[in-house]
Amino acid sequence: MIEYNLSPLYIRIVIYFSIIIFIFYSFLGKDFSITNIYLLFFLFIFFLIFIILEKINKFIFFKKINLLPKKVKNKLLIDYKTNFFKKLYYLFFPYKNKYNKENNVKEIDHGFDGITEFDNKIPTWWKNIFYLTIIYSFIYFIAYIFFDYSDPKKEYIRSYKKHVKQIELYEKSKPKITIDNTYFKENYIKKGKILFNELCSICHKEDGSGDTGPNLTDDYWINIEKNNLYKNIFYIIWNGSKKNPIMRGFGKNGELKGKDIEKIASYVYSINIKKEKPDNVKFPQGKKVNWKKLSKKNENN
Amino acid sequence: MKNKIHIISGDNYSEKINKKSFYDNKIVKFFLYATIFWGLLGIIAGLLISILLYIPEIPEFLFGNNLKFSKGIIGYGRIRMIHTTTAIFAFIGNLIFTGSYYCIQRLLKTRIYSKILSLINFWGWQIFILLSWITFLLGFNTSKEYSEHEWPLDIFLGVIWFIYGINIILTILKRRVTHLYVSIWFFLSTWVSVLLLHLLNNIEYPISFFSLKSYSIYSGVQDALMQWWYGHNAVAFVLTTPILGLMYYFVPKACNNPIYSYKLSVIHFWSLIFIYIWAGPHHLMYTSLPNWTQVLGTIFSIMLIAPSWGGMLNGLLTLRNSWKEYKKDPILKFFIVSLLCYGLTTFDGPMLATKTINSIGHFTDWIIAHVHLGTLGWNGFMAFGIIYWLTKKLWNTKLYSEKLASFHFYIGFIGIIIYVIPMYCSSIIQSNMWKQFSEDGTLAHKNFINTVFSIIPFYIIRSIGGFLYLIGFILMIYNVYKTIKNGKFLDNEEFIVPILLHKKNNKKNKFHDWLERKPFQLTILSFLLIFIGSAIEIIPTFIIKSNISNILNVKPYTALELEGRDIYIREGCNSCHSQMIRPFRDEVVRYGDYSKAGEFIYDHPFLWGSKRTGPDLAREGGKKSDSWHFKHILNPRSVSKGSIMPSYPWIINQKLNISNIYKKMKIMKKLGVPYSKKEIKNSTKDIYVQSSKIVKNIYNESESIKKMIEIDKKNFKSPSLEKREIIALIAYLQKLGRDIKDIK
Repeated sequence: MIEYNLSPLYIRIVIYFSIIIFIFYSFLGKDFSITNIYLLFFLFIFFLIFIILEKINKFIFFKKINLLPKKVKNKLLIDYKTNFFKKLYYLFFPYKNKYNKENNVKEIDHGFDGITEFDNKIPTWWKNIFYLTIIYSFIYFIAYIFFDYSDPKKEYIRSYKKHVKQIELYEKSKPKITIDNTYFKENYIKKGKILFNELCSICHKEDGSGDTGPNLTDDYWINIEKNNLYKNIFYIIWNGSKKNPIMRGFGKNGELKGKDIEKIASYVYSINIKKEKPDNVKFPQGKKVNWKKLSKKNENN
Repeated sequence: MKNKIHIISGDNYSEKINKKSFYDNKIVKFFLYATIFWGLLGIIAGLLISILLYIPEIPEFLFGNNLKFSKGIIGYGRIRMIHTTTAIFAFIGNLIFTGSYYCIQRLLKTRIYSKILSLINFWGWQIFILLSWITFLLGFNTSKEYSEHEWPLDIFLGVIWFIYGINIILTILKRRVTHLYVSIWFFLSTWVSVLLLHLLNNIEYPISFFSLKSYSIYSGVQDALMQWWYGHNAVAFVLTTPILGLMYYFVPKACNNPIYSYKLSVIHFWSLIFIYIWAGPHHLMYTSLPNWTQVLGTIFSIMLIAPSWGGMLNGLLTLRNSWKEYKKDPILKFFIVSLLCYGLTTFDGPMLATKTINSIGHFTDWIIAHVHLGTLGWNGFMAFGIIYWLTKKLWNTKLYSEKLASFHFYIGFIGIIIYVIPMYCSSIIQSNMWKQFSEDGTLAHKNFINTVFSIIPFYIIRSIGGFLYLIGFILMIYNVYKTIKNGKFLDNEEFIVPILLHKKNNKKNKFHDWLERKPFQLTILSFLLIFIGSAIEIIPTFIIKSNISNILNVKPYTALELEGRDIYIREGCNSCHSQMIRPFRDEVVRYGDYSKAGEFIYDHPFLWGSKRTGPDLAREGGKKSDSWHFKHILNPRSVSKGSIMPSYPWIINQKLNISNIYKKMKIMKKLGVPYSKKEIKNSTKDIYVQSSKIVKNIYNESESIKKMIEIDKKNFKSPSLEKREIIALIAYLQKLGRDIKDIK
């Protein structure tokens, strides 16, 4: 039987265009851009071909149905004129369709406890979805075999490079804070506390009194690297503790930037010089340090 | 069945009555009761673990100070296993048996072959589930998701499943209908696939004949592939194909319409079982699994859309003439929403298998939403429809209350929506928070727990959804109970046995017409189809060495670490903590260098996990001190404020059982872990040396722990800290990822 079985042009064009774009995307890799001149050329050519094919198809269809008896012809014409989405709607709501009252489909009965099966055609759009997914998968697979499409490790290297570049750009615009130019800032204490609670409190407790990590509010220090209390704190957060790898170098491994370390160091400094100490503190660890003496000594030298 | 015999179809056979026979309804009734019973328990277990996620103190509340003597019977990981096993094997498993024992008899016009086999099937299955509850609660599990049962149970399950298949095949052989209906194709392919999946994934080496403990013979990447080949196809061949089989019987029966398209059912059946088996690796995207397998997983998942939708389409289009009736009939409502949920899930699944969405959804609640859309919507609602319909039929009466059933439908539907949508939201929010960088290039949410805080409201809403679903379920039980009271049950239902007559071949579709009359050929063909995909993915992963590059630094676990690993498995830590750092910028910054295949070669079984409720642990070693871990296990909230991890005081209290360490190490050696003879011989000594070191660290770092243990020893005469389980667990946690870290 003659039938105009194609889905409408606008749907086909979207589907074929997306396949073409997907081909370009998978084979060009990171060089892909939607304004690629070859891609646009391809799309244009395909567009023309589709328009022409559509015209020819229609021409043949009308030629053919003219040869048919009038009844059949009318039916086909109605079918042809019905909108694609309306047809889809009629598929699920057949009783809404005025023209399609009688059902000529064969009913298969093998005696399955009263269950019979219509011998309906498979819906075209279902078939098209199936073909479409197969085509996509095929392109995907070919692109994977012959190009570096879909390689997680390469994707990682790309994102790593991009990230490093972003950081570089950012650091150009903002002054870098290092051990040399950092100093205690009172207005950072509040922000420092938030960061301290987020990152440090799991070992040092929120009030800094020490838990599995040492007490930060007393005068005993395990690591004495600088002769200024504030700088010493900053140094340890940046480089970590040499004696205990659990205290990792937050600045060194890139987990925190100088500005955030400055905030935390300011907070820790503030709770250390404060006169009121927390009630329950951990036992002292390391050497007792008199920072004033130490810094004076250093100046004298 | 001889070739020449054909069927007289449809209406004809009533003329040539010669014999009467009886359907066995009793076995259907048994399974129906079991379905309802286990369904209720499964949902309650699920509700419990969903609440535990935001009120982790429930066990302390229940047990008080005695929690440390509870042996972990209410540990989160264990109850999660119970929830999944009960939902999949007990609720849906029993539903499959209920439906298939009912419809196979009617579709083949014969009584079920053997009453004894049916009863073995029934009681065996219930005993299996009961035993898995007991073993899981006692901490015996293999850690492999949906296959956590230890080796004796695996054998038992295999035998029972085999008996089920034998019973239906023998029934098919004495059938009085030449053709096999679609439902039966689905049951046969289900049976043979589940058998293959179950057997291959559960090859384990028990440490002794009298011990429940066993180790998977596969390791690391291979074990992961095997497990998710199984895990994915457990969804395919337990939660999908048999349910489609039931759908093909109960939907046309309930709405009295012919199936929309025979052709569609042929094509979607074969394409579904062929393509489904390939898609397993999409559970392991961006992991250390060789990339070619991941690509196969992706493309076959995408190709799966149409075959899956074929089932939905055929179901919905079968119902299409009854849109008006569905307003009156709650059963049809259940079926329609069930099929729609199936369509949504099978679209969601392939989308999750694409790389972009997988990088968002994997390890988050997206998976939970996806899975529950399938189980609550597709499986659950199909089950409710079938339960109501069967109750009416078997007890020859009307439903006690159609309105109550309608109410069940609406409350269940709202429950699903309230469950699923918050989970999608939570996934997107949390994974964005994981991935977010501040402009200075550091992570925006440096502490994992902040991302957990942001999704707790969704957890609460989700529990409400689950609770509504449970209420609906309870209403159904009441409704069914009342209906049964009104009705009259016939153990044996009379029917007329049709005579088989010769009939000409269907010329148009010769091959399939022939195949439909040949149960063995049909089963073998479906076996071959699922075998192709399996073999192509599994064999190269095992054989080709370049898939898993060796890393020289990776060392086997020490005896103590091995014991710690077994505790990790026992408590099901892997259900919340992944051990797989994917090659993403944020994960590398947060956890350390991404995981390599070679790091897992000594992992029997693998422990990559599938959900990241807590942070990843692949490189946990050396990040926290020993005393920190001690305090964290004792009470996570004492060191990590607001943590949702439950506390595990029994690990701290219990003495480590090292009596099996020789056996364990010997078996590991047999499985390919290079332990020397000396290492095995000195294992107890090594355990002592390593544990003393850890205890020394702990005591140095924390006086409070020392005091606590001393008081403990005095009051309860408990063993010294060196001999307790916690030390082994700490040893294991401190080893994780250490080998590679130390190179740099």
